[in-house]
Amino acid sequence: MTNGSSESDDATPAKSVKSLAYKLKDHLVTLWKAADTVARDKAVEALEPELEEMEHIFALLVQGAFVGIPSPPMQISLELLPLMEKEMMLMMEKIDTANEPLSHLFSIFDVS
Amino acid sequence: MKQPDIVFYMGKGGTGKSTVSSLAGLGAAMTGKKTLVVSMDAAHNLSDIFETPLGHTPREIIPGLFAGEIDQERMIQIYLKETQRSLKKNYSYLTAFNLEKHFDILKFSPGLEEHALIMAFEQLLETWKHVDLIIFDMPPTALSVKFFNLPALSHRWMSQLQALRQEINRKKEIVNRVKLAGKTYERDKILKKINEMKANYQFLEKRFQNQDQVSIKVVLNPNPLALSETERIHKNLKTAGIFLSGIIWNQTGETTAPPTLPLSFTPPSHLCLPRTAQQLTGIGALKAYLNVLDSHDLERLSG
Repeated sequence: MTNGSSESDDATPAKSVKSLAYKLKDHLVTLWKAADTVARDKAVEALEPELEEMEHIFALLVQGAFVGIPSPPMQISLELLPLMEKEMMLMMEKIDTANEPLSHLFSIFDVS
Repeated sequence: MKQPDIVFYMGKGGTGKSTVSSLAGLGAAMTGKKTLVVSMDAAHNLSDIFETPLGHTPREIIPGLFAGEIDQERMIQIYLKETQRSLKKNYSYLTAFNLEKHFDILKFSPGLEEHALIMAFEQLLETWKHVDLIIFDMPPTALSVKFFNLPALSHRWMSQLQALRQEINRKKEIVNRVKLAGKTYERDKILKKINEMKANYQFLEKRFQNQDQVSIKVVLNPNPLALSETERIHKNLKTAGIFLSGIIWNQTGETTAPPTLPLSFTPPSHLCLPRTAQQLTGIGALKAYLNVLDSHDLERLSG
């Protein structure tokens, strides 16, 4: 009996240390993932708006006729139009920020 | 398999492009060449010259000679239907809602006429590979010049758009690699389409520039207006790297001597077609006129 009780006393601290280690590992993994995401987001935070602007320029060049700027030969616009749903949405969204280009730019670079 | 030779007759309205095209077609057919004559002008008069009804699909009018009149409107409608089908396929149902109604206006879009002609040209080359010679009776200068310039202009646009799209994709790839550890990789359908279109325009541009495959001849009358328009044609086509293969002086008088009017450039070949008192309509009258020309002139007319 005595032996059994002593074994159980030994097992409990060992188990709790193990579970603590697991929890710690989980927390560290979560922390690492969060830090990784933040770092990755930070790394591309200037690149993403630039990319969006380039897509906007592309949409303007191809489908500029929709907003009154010179466009390529008509058949180019028409043939690319079916593939440009995303770019067209971007053009529509741009209408909201078109009046405040500077504030839009400042918000991209986090200038307050 | 040998590709058919291609000859375009262009020039100022009323100089006799359709008559010259018909004579050239008939002359070639008489020498045993399987020939197709196509009118690209919306104001067709090949039917009147050959005195037989012609339609969009060419038909044989005498053994070895086929003729047709391209229906520009029909080509535009076919093109728009295809664009509309593609839009419906690619866009979500809300965006495609009522598209048909809105597309009606596109048939009045400037620029589609020359594209319709390009489509007709490509389609004819595909369907009529088996003939020896294809002769195109072109519309008056403005539309013809746009037709010849369209592939070069479109090619330039496609190169610019391709470069921008490639830059966008390069940046997208960086963002994907950093943010998503490169897990998602989507093939860019737009770039694929741009590449296809660019290759097609490049092919057409080179084809128009290649004088071994394509001859472009200007039909003109010996008067200052036709002469200055010919100068403008030469200048405009030169900017797209396209050069005239010959000049055909039509209705020069009683003789086949070239007029003394000055041209600022020297065309590789020129031919003078004398005026005739006879009405040049109907196969019989055309044949009678061709019989007056010597074999050398006949060759220059359709070669």
